[in-house]
Amino acid sequence: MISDWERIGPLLDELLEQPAEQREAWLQGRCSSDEALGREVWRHYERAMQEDGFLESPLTTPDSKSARRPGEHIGPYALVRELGAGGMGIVWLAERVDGNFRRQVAIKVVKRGMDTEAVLRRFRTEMQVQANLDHPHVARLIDGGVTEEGLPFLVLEYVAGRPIDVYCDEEGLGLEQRLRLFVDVCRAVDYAHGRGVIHRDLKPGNVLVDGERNPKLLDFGIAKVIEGGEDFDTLALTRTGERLLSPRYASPEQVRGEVVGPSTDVYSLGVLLYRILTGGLPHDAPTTSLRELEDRICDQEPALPSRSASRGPDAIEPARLRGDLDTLTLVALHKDPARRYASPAALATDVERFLAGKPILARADSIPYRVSRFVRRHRPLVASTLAAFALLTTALAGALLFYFEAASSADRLRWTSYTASLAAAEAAIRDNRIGAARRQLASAPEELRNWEWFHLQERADRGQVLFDIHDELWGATLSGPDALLVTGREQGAYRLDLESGEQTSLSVVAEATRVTVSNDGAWAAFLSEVQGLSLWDLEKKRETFVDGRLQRGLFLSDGRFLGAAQDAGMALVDPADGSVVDVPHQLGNIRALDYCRERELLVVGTWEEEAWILDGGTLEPRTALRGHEGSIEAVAFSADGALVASGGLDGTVRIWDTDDGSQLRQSSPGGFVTCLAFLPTGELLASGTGDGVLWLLDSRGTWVPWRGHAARVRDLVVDEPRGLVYSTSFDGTVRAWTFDTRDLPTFESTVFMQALAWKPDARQFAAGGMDGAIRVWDRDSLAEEHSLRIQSKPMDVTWSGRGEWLFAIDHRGALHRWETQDYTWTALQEGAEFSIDRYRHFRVLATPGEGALLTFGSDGSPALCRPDGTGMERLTSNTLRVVEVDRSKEGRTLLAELDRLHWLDADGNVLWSRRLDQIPTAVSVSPLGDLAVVAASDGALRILRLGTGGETQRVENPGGAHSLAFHPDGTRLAAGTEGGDIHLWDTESWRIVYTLDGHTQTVEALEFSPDGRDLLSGSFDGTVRLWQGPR
Amino acid sequence: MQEIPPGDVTRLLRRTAQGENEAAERLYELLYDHLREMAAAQRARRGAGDTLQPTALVNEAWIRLAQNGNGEWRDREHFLAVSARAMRFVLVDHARRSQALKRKPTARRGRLEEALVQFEGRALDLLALEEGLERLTEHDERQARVVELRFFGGMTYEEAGQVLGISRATAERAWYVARAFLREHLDR
Repeated sequence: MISDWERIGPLLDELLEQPAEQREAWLQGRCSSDEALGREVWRHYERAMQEDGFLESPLTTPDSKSARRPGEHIGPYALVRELGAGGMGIVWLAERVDGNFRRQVAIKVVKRGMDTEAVLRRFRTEMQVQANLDHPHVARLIDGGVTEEGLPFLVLEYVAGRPIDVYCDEEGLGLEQRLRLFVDVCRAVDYAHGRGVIHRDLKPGNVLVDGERNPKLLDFGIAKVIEGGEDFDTLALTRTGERLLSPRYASPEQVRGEVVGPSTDVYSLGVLLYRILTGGLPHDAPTTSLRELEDRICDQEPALPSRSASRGPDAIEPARLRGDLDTLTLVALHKDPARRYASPAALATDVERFLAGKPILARADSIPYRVSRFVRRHRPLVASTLAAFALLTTALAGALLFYFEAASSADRLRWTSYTASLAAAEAAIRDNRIGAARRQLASAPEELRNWEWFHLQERADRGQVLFDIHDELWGATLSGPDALLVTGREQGAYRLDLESGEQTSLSVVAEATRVTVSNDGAWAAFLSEVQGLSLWDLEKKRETFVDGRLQRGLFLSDGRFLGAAQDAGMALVDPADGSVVDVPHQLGNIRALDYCRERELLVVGTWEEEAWILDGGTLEPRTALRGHEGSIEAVAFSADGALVASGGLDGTVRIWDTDDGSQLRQSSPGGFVTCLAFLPTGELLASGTGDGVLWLLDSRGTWVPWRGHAARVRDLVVDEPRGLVYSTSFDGTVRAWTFDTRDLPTFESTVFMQALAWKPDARQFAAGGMDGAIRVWDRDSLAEEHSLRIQSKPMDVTWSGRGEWLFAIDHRGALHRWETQDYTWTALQEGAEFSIDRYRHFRVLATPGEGALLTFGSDGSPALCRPDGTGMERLTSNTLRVVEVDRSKEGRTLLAELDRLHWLDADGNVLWSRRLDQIPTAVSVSPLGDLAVVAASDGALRILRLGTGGETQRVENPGGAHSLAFHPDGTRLAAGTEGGDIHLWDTESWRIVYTLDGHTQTVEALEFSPDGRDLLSGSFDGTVRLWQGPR
Repeated sequence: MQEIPPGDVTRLLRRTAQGENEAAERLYELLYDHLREMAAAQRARRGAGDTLQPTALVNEAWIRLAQNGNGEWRDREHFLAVSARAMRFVLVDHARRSQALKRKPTARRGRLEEALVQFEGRALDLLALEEGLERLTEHDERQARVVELRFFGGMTYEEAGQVLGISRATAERAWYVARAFLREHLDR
């Protein structure tokens, strides 16, 4: 028995409470009457603090010999430092060094000695979960493997960022910036839900924001996977021994240990929102113990964010949280999972609606029960079904469907086969299997084909077929202004007249893969891998010179032909007299050449993975371009010669500065690159992948696919005077492409695009964004023609009935007008100051004449005015709080309030009114004026007969509907969802026939062009998309 | 292997959490038996030489026990505390038996045994430590619990504090005082 411990123990405890530097003095004072006791306590104190590892290494911690150290390798990755550790695994920052390319990654590896079966199983699941997630706001799985001692590891994207709450505070973000960041997080979680993955551990530490303000979701270590309705609960159990989960962000059902569903993540997002808005947590007090905290989470209502915000960051005014943001947060934090937002997307949408000044859909304690939505929105199942269809012929698919749906009608079968063909065609287009896409489209029942079919047809068949020759086409070049020389496998070569369309065969050397013409147009050089060079006198139409060695080459500006041979020889041929001069060089096996007349420079690409810039006169090498990791098969100068592009078997395209040889850019379209051409626009076109897709590297650095050829493209020719690029392909066609060819044209802004309008002649469209600009684009060139600035945020735009005027209404209710001749601006009506605490819904719609219909939100009524802004008249004497509106061609108006729907004639007389049991999110009047469609917050579309106001049908629009647009012929209705999808409904059978997938956030505006050709969509993701239909 | 009715574990955990000592005892028993059986079962399957941490076994046991139940989120930490004690019992028991048998080496040992032998290699008199812990409990039970949770359960100060309902700082002080006591005890 240690003597006197009754006295020593408590004293030691008290001593430890003192600040370290004062302890000695404190003890002396405390034990002044009993110095012996003081000395004894001090001795024990020193022994307690002695750092010899006594009892320090708990049994869970692997001993030193099994710990990893920086510098050690796991697979090809060198460990840098530990980022975090749990009971089972350790996360390391690691580096992979490939040549000069350094890549930082996060590696999660099982601790030595912790590799129990359950842990290994858990790791496999986590890997599967991660591998299924590919989203800009989710940290990516890069690699995975097994260490030498057989322990599994995951390699994940390393996110150099700060926790979202820290980031918001340190960067001093304002309310809007915080909310936008939060919306991105919601979208990422929603994406995971769509793939059947519930995160379950959302908290700031797992949501990092990088230097470019991109939030990234991390750590799916305890994620739950729902597959085919079954729970694969991988549960937190394997984390036993790891730091305990902090319940601060946990939902009541998690705390109670109940079954956890998608709404758990919605709750945690609510806590996250609460944190970044107020700086505090809904259930935390500084002194709260764990048990107390848990009780509060389960039983106590959190304080309103606007009340807690006083403790929060200076950037947020508590007053701005009052009302909508209070409601929104509390709905996300509802104790009852069924009463929360149905999905992270629904939460995101309401935040976006708040930001756009629209009424939020959540009403405290009245959110509709929409839990089953998760299952309906569940993508993998749908995706795998479609993928299965993509593999089947439609006939077989039809037979299978018939087998499964024997009881169903022939009509239903036909529809199913139609939608399956479309889905399969779309999948094939995405995979660049153009031939398969065309076959699928061809098999779709003809009588059902409508806008969506033409839209897909358009996507799969871009570029106009100029010539269709039953031959494998190879090289191509312009021969004079109006003719193309093209080589083919069977015939040798063809002369194609671009004016008359006439096509003539030339019997040249067999299997010429390349052709080039001299500057004066007198000579053509055909080059074959087997037979070498054949020079042709184009006027006399005969071969004048043959050299079996030279397989590549081009004409220099002095008229001589520079040829390169496979054995690394090079020679200059004078076509006039057939003299040959060998050119010694050390460059290696030359695979590609290009010549820049402006600057008299030559560029060659070699098998030795180098490119060289040579003097065009002396042929002396000037600059080496090094970096490729495979033979360089294509080189091209930009029009001014300032840039060189190179591409080859390493799959990369690199752009170099001609003068100093520095690499300016490196990018990969996917697959080998065998031809390259700069367009006059400065953009670069590349091809070579086996699937026939041409890839355009656009000015933003993204690769845009040009889909049309069904097989590999072999050559590209730019025809600047005609504004076209020609391509030759193994599919036997020569296609002509305009420089602005785009698949799914997208017009980006950094802000919400919610106001859209087509000019009545369908040649232009306008979109207003929250940045205060109204942009006008040309439909054909896709060019932005005008950017009209107003002082505040445009809520809506419209063109007058004959297109002379463009109207916009801003979020203060002020009306703006531009004359479309020269876009002179006139302010028609002043608005009132707008406060973010209250919403107003301002809309402007064209009236059949030249005037405009205006609607006002919470404190006003619709009014009509003349185009000069005079004659403002209230449409009705009632005060209406309009939230949605649409108009028929005859000038009748459908107005929706939060709880009522009104149908007014042109004079403003109410024809009928009816109650709405859900908040309307969009309304639309059919072109024939017989139907109205009302989308509401329960996600359903209500189809009403306009004559009586009676509801004829109610259908579910998966993902809710926030925008609606009828096709001008009335056969299709487009409905934009909160997840970004646009469903196309057949308006006779009321079934979804196709879904346009592109937007990443709520689709807030939709409009078909007046000619019915294209559909325009605007989204909170900041983009306007043009979905092109039949040309 | 003897299956433990999952409902039992959940119930026992809850009752333990509510401070019922009898439930805790019963739980230790269950866990203890389970651990021993697992060690025996693994003897046949895994080759010698690879070492598995004892705590990994505890985790494995926990996963197996709890997987059949539903929603153990809240009780997990109590389980940790319980498993720390079970681990302590297992180790001390092993030490006792080793002493009694004068360490008769067997050709092939189970992973638990393997780990325990490794543990012995740390030159710590486990039986003396156990005696010290019992003594310390008489003085200040909380201090002894902190040692148990940290040394046998591998918890941080924060986690131990959460289980015991005390702050991190208090847990840390308790740890140092206990360390002084145990060091003194073991030096005797």
